[in-house]
Amino acid sequence: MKSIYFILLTFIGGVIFAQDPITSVSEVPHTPTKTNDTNPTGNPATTEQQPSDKKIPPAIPQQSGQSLFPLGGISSADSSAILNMLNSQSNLTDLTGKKVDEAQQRLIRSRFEKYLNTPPATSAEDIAYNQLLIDISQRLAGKGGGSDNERTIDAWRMLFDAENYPMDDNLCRTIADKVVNFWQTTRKIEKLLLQNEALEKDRTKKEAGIRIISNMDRRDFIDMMRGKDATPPPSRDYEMDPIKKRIAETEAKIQENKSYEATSRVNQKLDFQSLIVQFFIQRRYYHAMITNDFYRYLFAAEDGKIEGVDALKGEVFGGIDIKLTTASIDALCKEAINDTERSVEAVKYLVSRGELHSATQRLMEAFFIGENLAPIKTFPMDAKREIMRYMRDTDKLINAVKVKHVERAEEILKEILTYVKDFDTGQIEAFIETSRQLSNLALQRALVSAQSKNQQGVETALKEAVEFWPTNPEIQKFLKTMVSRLDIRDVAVGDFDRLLGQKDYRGIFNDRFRFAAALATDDSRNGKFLEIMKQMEIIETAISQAKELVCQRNDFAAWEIVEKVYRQFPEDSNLNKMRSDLTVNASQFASAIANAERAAQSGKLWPALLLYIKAKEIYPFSTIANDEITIIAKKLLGE
Amino acid sequence: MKEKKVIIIFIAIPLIAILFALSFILIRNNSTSMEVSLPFDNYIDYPLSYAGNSYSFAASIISQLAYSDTRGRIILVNPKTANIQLPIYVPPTIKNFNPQVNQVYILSISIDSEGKLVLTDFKKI
Repeated sequence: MKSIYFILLTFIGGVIFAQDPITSVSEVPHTPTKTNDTNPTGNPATTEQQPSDKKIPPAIPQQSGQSLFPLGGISSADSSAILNMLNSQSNLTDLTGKKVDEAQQRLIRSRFEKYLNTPPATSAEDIAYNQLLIDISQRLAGKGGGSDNERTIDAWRMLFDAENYPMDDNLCRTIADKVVNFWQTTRKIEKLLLQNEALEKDRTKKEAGIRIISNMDRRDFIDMMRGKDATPPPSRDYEMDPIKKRIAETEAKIQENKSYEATSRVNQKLDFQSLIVQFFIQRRYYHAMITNDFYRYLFAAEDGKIEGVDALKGEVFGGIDIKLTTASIDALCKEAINDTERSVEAVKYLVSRGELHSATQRLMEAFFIGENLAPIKTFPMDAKREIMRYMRDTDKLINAVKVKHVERAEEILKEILTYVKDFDTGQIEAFIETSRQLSNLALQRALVSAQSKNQQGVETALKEAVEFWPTNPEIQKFLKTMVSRLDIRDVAVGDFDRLLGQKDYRGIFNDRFRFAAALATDDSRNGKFLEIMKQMEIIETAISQAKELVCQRNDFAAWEIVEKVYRQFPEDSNLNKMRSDLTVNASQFASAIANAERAAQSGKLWPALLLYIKAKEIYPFSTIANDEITIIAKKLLGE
Repeated sequence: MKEKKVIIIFIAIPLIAILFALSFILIRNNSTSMEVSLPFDNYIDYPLSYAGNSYSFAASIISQLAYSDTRGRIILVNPKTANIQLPIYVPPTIKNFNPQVNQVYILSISIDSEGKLVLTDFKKI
């Protein structure tokens, strides 16, 4: 039983997902011999071979070969095993035991997902249609009694009822047309038989006429031989020639009629057989069984061996010398129906137990076999959604494993385990743990290499660590540590010299802690560094005081504080900026001081004194003005 | 006759009064035009422009900026007619000048070639 299941699975797998059943059905009745006779490879239809023959891009290796990507620390075989375990469709195999290739897996997957997202066909129409197919099959099997002809005609009429349902896709009409075609051909053959009978009678009469003429010739010849007149009588062949010609014509017509009878019978038989096989391949088991029953009635007492499918038989049954008959197809159909029903029951049970991993695989197998059967079509939506959720989560898990995102894989695994009871976590957990360990080991090697100043070793080990676990947080820590250990002093000294050369004391001040640490033991630079720090302390103090005074709206005092420090350290950018801002607010006072300074510098002491006094009037507490007034006054007196 | 005298007196008195007033105004104007006051603001900005001029103005003493036994002193005053502070050089030749804070003097000054206000005379008020 199990072998039949696998045969079905693999037999159908090669063809079903390669074509749309509706289009293939519509084509088959018009070209019935094409599926069986014209395909030398043994596949039943020309379109069936496409998926398996499709060239897979070189970037996507076969499932049975190497893995698509190396998983960190795991061999290609192991990584392939992990992904296969996660991929529900990857366990489907072909006839020779090889796994279904990736292109076909994707087709199966997409079709299965479409099915999972389709509401169950539980409407009254669906139920009525399913029942009608069963009724047709049972009527042909003898339910309801009656003669063969009566049952055949009843079933034939019921086919027209079934074709009205949209889900039938006019398949029943195709069967009905075949039956009608058979009847019409039979009627024609009967006429030809009658015609042959008449022709044979006519031929007998003509043959009798020839015999009479021949006898007359023979008698004339005998009389001549006995008589005195030795002159032979003229032959009567001229009378026989037209008769012989008509006999030949009659003979030819009879042979033509007989030939037509024979060929049309064979063609009809092959048509029916092709239709049976086609329905079976399309997993329209009830249609296959109904066609099969009609075949048995219409071709009663004839051999049920299915002709022209030797290559297909070899593909399905391998080297086994088995006779593929309508009866064996019928048995396979019933087996598929029963197996689908049992599988669906098993799936329902597994879903109710939360064993979604097994449920997913069993449902996919059942769907693979009996997509068009009622148990599959009426499978409850809630259970479908559960399975769909599991498949999506496994997809996420696959992606996380592919990119070696260990944290993400771990997170998804936890999520899956919250609702899936039969998920085997062993391989995934091993992958996660192995990736982590190998990445950390590589990091340790990188650290050792760094300590021995082996730059090449560091790079190689780091590359390995990233390959095993790209998002390993220890990698970033390691890099930071390395940078700080290797370069901190050299970089700091270089930066200090550069900033000192640029007189960018502010830059040195901003990074003072780094420089303090780096230059602590550098006698040549530390003195200068401390001097700059004192200078910056004065500047910063002045800036702070000025800010405070500005807050008190005392712009003159703020300007004077900044101005006094600016005169000491005119290079500081922050001080410069603040002085500029304050000069605008204290422009009158600043202008008076500036004018006084200019006068003093040009030796005009008295005007300078006047201007400083003017500045003092503006800001009486000006230390600059007061100091300068005292100094200039003394100078004026020659002191 | 008596009435005529009275009328003359009534007319003469206002006339005399007017004449006095006019004469006072004229005298007053004449004296101002003779002593032009120092334009303090302009002087502070352009002191050399007033070199050679002499002025006299009342001012209160604010402080002493510098002192030298031999070279005199510089004091800071506040002119009564302006809200400013002015330094004034008091040469040592000026005797009996004992300024104290808030004292008011009429100061006579001249402006030397450096624009300096040099005290030439003073009178305490």
